[in-house]
Amino acid sequence: MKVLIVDDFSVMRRIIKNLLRELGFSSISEADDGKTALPMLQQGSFDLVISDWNMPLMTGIELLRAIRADQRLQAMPVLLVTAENKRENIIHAAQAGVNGYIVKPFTAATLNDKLTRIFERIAAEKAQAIQ
Amino acid sequence: MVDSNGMQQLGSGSEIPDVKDILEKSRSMVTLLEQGQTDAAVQLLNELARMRERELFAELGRLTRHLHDALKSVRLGDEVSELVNEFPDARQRLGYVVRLTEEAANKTLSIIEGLIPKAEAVSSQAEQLLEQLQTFESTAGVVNSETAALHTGLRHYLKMQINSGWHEALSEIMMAQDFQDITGQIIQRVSLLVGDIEMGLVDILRKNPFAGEESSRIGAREQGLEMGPAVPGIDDADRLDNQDDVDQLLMEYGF
Repeated sequence: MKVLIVDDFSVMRRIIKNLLRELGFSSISEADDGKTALPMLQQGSFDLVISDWNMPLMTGIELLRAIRADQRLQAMPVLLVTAENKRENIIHAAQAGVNGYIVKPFTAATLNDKLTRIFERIAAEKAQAIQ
Repeated sequence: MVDSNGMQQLGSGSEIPDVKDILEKSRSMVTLLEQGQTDAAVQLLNELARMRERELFAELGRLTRHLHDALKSVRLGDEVSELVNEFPDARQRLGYVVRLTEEAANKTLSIIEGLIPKAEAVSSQAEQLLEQLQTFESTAGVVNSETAALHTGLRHYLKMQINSGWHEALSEIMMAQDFQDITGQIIQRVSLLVGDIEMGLVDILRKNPFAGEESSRIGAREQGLEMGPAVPGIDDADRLDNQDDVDQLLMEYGF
């Protein structure tokens, strides 16, 4: 499973990377902004995006919308991990089709829990599609 | 002319129509309408509208003059120039704080990344040794009281290594480094604000009081969404305090 971490803060990318490794993910790539992330997603075969919201050139919500607007990427699970805790932000993210939303500061257990739920949901949707 | 509030008045009596005039024209308009003289009534209506426009322009002129006077009265001497010169320095200092915390957090993370596999190795080797020790004890039995004491000591030590809690503690230290992200974002926001104020002051210093259109870099980027972590006591409105509240809100949107 290939994961792309998008965050302009190297420390946060590193923390998430370490947490993912402990959860058994080994193929992890990094991008420091939505603008660098999007071409990486379009070229590579990623299975999950974990993105920050507040980034200089292309924000997390802009990246999410770009992913949903791209035919080949639109089904990509996107988990936002962000310090934005305003009701408005969360609603915008939900409406844009986010798969999970984690507020910083967060714990390893929260990340694990949200990832499990995202994959359970995807598996359930796939099973439903087959039926 | 100075009114009761000490405000300068630009408009003279002829420019700003009085209530009596408006009342008179309105009454005649109603009379004309009642008499069926629509054209004349419309003419009066237009006249009233023009009166209102004149009033508006006079008001705008007055405000403009006030703004001019206010800006002129601000002392734009050496003090302001000096202040403006200090802004880039302030932003550099803020940038330096972000860099230093980043370096410190990365250093801590490097040490933790090196220690976690070691902690794991120690604990898993201790588990293996304890298992071997127990197998040995159950097959060979206790040889004598001296080795029995050694066995007890070894068992105790190995269990201590297995339950050291090092891995958990190291994970917690790692997670605590997220302070750098949160503080960094807040400092970046303040730095942007300082930059904006600097630009505004430079504009004023250039004696161009009505410039400043380029000074809206900060704030909402799209659909009024502000970015950056909340600062307790400053940004409390409409914020969700914890992940549970976030989950609750998301549930309302089908999550």
